[in-house]
Amino acid sequence: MDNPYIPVPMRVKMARFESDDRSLKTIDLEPVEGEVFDFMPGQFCEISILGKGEAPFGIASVPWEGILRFTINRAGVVTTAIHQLEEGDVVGVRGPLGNWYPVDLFEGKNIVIVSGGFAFTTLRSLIKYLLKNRERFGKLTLVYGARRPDLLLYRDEIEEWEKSGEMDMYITIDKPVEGWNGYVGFVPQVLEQASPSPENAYLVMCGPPAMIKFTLPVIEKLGFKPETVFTSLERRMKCGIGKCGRCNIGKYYVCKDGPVFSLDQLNKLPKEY
Amino acid sequence: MKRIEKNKFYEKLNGMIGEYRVFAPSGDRYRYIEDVSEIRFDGLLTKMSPKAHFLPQEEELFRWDEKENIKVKDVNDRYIVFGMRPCEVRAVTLLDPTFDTEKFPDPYYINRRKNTIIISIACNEPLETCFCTSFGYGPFTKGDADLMLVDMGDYFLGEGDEDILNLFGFTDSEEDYKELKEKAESRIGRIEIEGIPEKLEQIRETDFFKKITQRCITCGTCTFLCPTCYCFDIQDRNRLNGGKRVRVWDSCMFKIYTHETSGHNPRYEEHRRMRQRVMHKFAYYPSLYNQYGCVGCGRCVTYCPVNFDIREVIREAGGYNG
Amino acid sequence: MTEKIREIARRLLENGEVELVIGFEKGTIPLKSRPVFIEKPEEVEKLIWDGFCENNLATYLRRYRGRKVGIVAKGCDSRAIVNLIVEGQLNREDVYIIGVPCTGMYDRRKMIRDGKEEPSEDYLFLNCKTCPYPTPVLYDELVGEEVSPRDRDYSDVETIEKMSSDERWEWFQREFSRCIRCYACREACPMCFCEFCFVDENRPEWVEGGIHPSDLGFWNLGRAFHLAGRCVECGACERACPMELPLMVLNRKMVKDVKEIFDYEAGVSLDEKPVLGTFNPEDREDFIL
Repeated sequence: MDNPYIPVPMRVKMARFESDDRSLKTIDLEPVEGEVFDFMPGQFCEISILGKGEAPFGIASVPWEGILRFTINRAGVVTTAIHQLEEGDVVGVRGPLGNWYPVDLFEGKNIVIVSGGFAFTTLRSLIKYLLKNRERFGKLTLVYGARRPDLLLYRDEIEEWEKSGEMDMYITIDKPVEGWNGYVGFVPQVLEQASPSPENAYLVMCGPPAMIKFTLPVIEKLGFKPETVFTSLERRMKCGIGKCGRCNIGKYYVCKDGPVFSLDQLNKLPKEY
Repeated sequence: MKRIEKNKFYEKLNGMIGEYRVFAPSGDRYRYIEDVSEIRFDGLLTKMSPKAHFLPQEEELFRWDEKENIKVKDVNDRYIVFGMRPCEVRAVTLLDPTFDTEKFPDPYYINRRKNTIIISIACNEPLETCFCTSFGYGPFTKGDADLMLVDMGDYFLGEGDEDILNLFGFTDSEEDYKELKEKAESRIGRIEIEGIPEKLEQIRETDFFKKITQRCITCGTCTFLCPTCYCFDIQDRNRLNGGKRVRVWDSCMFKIYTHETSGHNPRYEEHRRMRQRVMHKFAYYPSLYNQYGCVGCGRCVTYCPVNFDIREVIREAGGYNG
Repeated sequence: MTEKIREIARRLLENGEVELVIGFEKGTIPLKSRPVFIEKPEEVEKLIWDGFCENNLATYLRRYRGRKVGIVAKGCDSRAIVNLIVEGQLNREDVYIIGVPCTGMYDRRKMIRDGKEEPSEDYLFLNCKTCPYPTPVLYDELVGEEVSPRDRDYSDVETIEKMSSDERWEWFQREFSRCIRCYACREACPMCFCEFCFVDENRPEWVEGGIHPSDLGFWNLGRAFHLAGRCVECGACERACPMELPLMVLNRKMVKDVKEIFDYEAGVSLDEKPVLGTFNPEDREDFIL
């Protein structure tokens, strides 16, 4: 019997800060032995630093990149320890955990992706997946905003996507900054401006609670039905496998039955998030 | 029916200590005993339930050395849990759907569960706080026990696994316990459980939970004494030459249970935590596994410092027109 | 006294002087009176007063900060309210104290074990038998005749003090290894109100979780130390503890020491300042050097 509590050792292949204030760090992990396991966009891993603890992080990469990429905000004991990692360090990983974005449902449809801040991580995975199989999907739209340009993740790749023309991109920051040529304004407003059609479309949204709160009414206004809107929830987690009881919302465990939920599912649950 | 003289039974059990680790009631809780003389029944129920055997309050998941090589303890023990009540036996079967799953089987729990012989004792004299019959079973239900005993004074009647009955040396008996069973069942106060899961979902966002939680002080007494509660925390311990990762009991009633590092706490207010507790046992578990997450043992009622009474709450929920 | 309490509660609610009244009602298990929260005048009939009103209702007051509440308070409860005000946790104007001079509470667990249904002097809690402030020290209205203070008696503490170091350790290990870290003591105590208790902290992690005897010891001793100079000896902790740990022995040792060293008792007057938070040049220094 496999022991689902035992982390697998992985080595830090790359570690770099994303934001000027060094609050966000991206790390790429590769297995010490063997290949990266197969996973789908939207899944997460529990990263384990022995002696400090474990914490869940959404996977930002896709399996064919050969690495697991995570972007981590420094907040507590485990994330501070992760921020101190350098290339060559070994950490433990348990994964892939959770469910994934319903890419089967997305076949042939238009996909609108809405995100804010560093919640963008798993959406990088989703976008790369969609772009790799571009012909299987319809129009792709991305609305992504952050407080400042340096808090936008994966800026070099965003530029690439913009140049490729494969996606309609609306990248925005809160307040005008010198040298910034993109949109200025909060994500809900920019989404309303972009006004993607709900016709034959699915919407995926990941962002901080404040963004979600103000974006939901816009999504409703645009006419997206709750069954077509998906989001990824976060909760304090420990076991990540639906046993310790901590992350449940109603009858669902965010770690096991989520973290991806449809709005239609969420509307039936107690609003504890 | 089979029967055995009590002293003969205990003698045989005593002889098995060593080959088996025997977990038995010893005062306010169950302990791993060295000798049957340590067995003490202080009233019908112990304070701490025997779930501590299947899910220890502190359990090592693995340890590591200075080089961070991970090692899991190799446990080859065999166990006997003696003296469990039918409610406690049922409680263990309620833990199975969470821990013994196909996708992420919990090896620690499964190992103990597989290698434990459960010997239960029926309840001749249920307490005023018992309400087990509300859940479709009773004080004389064998359930998942390997052997169920009935206390007849100097001797036990027994029913269960053929091999275990023979192992102890039970002999045939014409007696049965039907009368005792009926008498015991008649003493138990049932609560009306029909339709409660749906009703609770209906009143989920009303003031009902605010109202009932007023007196709750959100300690962990009910959850720790409860035989079906299983929430745990995982903590890393640093030691001189390495360390270990353990799991320890936790409680959804504690304020910091859902506290996130950012400072956000979705269940900061007391009534949110009480709502989670009540609905987990009486709405979510039934919708997932078709069974209530409560066995009606009444420990929470007896030991709550402020007399929060779940029986009363369920009754009130049933009739609530908020 | 029950009638008087109901009368006052009814009046307070009808005038709108308070939003709710916290008192006691009959419990659902034998010999238990439990906290009740009366919001409507029609409900005051639920309120009772007897020798089983063992909880300290002051522990609920912080939940209602900024709102006007009425509260039924025994002597020790009123000291807790004073202490909460002194420590800046409550405004005096926000509480209407219905003071009840108290003749003591009975140990229902002992009575049930001995099969007794009628209370008697033998079954009074120890801290009630030796209570120095049975009459509330602060109140808006007093219900009933004042009760004279009882003789202090710290023989339970002195028994342990007289033990040798080894005997004391043996007693401590034996009793406190039964702790299950349910924190009923902490939650029942009005003076334990920290947003993050020291056992909840993980930066740094002062105490590990779980039930290792040294962690159990650290928890119980730590809590007793954090209550030094603040404990009002109400006994709510020991009464809440499902394992019946002798928590009051530790707390009363602290109370005894603080009285001897600083001549101070918590929660007696609104004018006093917290003893361990105030420096007085006359403070004894012999235990530091």
